[in-house]
Amino acid sequence: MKNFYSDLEQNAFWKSGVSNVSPLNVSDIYEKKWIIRRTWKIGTAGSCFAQHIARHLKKNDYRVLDVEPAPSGLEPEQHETYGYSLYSGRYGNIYTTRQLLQLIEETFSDAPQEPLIWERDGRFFDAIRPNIEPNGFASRAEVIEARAYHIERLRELFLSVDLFVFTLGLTEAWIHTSSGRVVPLAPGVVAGEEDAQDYSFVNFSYDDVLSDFRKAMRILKKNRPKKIRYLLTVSPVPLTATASGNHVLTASTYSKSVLRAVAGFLSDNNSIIDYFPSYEIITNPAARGTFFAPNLRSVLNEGVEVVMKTFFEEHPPKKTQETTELPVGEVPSEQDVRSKEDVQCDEQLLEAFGQ
Amino acid sequence: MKRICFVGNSHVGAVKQAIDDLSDDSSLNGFEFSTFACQSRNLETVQVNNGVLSSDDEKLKESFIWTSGGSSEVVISDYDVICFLMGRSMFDYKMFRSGSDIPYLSVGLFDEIMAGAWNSWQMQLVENTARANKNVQVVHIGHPFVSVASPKIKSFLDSLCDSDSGLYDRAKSVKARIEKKASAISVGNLRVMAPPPAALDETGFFTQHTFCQGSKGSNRITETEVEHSSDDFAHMNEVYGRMLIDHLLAELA
Repeated sequence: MKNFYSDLEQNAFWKSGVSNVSPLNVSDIYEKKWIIRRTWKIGTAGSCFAQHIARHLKKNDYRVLDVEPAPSGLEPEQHETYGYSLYSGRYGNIYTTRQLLQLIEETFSDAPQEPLIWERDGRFFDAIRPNIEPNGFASRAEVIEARAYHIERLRELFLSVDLFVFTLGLTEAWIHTSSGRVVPLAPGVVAGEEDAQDYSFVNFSYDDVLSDFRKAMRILKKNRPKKIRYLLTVSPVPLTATASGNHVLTASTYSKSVLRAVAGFLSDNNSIIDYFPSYEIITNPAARGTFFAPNLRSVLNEGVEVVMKTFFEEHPPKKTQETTELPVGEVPSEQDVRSKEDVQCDEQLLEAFGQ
Repeated sequence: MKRICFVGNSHVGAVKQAIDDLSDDSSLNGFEFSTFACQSRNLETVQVNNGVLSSDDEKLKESFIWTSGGSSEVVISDYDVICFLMGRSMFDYKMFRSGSDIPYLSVGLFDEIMAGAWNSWQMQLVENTARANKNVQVVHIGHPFVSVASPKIKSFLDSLCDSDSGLYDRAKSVKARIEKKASAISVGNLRVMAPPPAALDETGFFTQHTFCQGSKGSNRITETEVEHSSDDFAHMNEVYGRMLIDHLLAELA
């Protein structure tokens, strides 16, 4: 007797799609929506997991932009300490769609708000990207000037990208109550302990996350003449800590569920948005947690390799383009080949407080 | 007689050619010049031991013998001034450049980059030389700034000349900070010195191309001079070499 399921592919069934399949080889889990063209300029941003994607795209000769490359005299081992060579701009981790929206709004605003500035031991920090100067800036004026330059470069980025790769990381955030701006870390973690009372906790809902991303898309569409596509992923890295009052496991599941649902909805309902299932690959029950480090949070290289192998099966590496001088904002991929997969994760600071 | 010694890599060539042309020039009669040159990778083996710059590297020794006219090592006390022409100039804006831009640099980031330059092998050698004999003036000038005609700097130069880009102001700010830092580093018998200002273009970041034209290097096998290729925008000619000598002597006077 036939039924609806009789003619479905093997990967539609848990037994033949998951439990009897090696977690190291799940290539039929993803089918690309479109080909990423060699000429496409790619921007990357998101939570710390996005750094893996950015790094591997560059290594495989995709045209990944970096509109704020590190000064040539800064030692390579210092790049990440100063927020360089992580993403397409020196914005640090962007965990929420609200943070992304706010960055894009600021980039295209005619009258951007004054930067939020935290203080610690006489040094000053850009609260929106508190980890890009390890010892803070020498003055408030430096923070303001640095941010003005940063936004100027981001304009270049958002006007020129053809594909924007964004990894959704969190739903929890801290909002500066009077201005409504979110920051990536709670005040007091890096700096700003004295400003803590000016911030309140928020846990974004499905509607918030979806609405914020859509608004961000509308601003970009309004300000750019050419089409932009988006590739969304959800970070498989659980929360380090939750301020929701719930158990961190349920809080983390809530966050990831919301983000996954939003990413799926956006992809299912927009031809210009594709979803890549790095979350599912890493959290695949068949892997039995082996893609996670002993802390059950950090993703091991082995897991990242499977994610990227699956990605590149659909989006094969590009041949190296021959240029004598790359246009502004483009960094040769050879510069980014590093043997260690060291990811800057602001949340590791939270772990220190949680001891 | 003031004894001036130039130590470095291929960039010593411009000075050597200028020195060779001094035979009819009486203006520098009170000076005696020596040159010790070798490829950079061999120069990295040079150490300061008991007041002598020396190395176990055979290639280095051969090059020093050839370029000095007989000595495989530099006895620091033999000279009144030792001028190093190797490694990036401490005044070179390039270390602050990213792509065709100089980004906004915080004080912290600027200091980090300068510290990296100061900790390079060549500056360590310069410092150690100065420490070995306080009676000898030790100077680092380093490589010339690249020629303004170099195609590699075209987009940077275009941005520099674009008054809307903001780059000119950032570049000026970096220049001022470099000069302040260099002044702070230059203590006792150690000086870090910029390339001769008269050789620079109007931006102050590049060498005028006229000082690059006709630059020559030396072929050790044939023991002849060989013109650098037309796409070499890094090496300078004997006119630059003479300018450097005059600049050095004027600064130390």
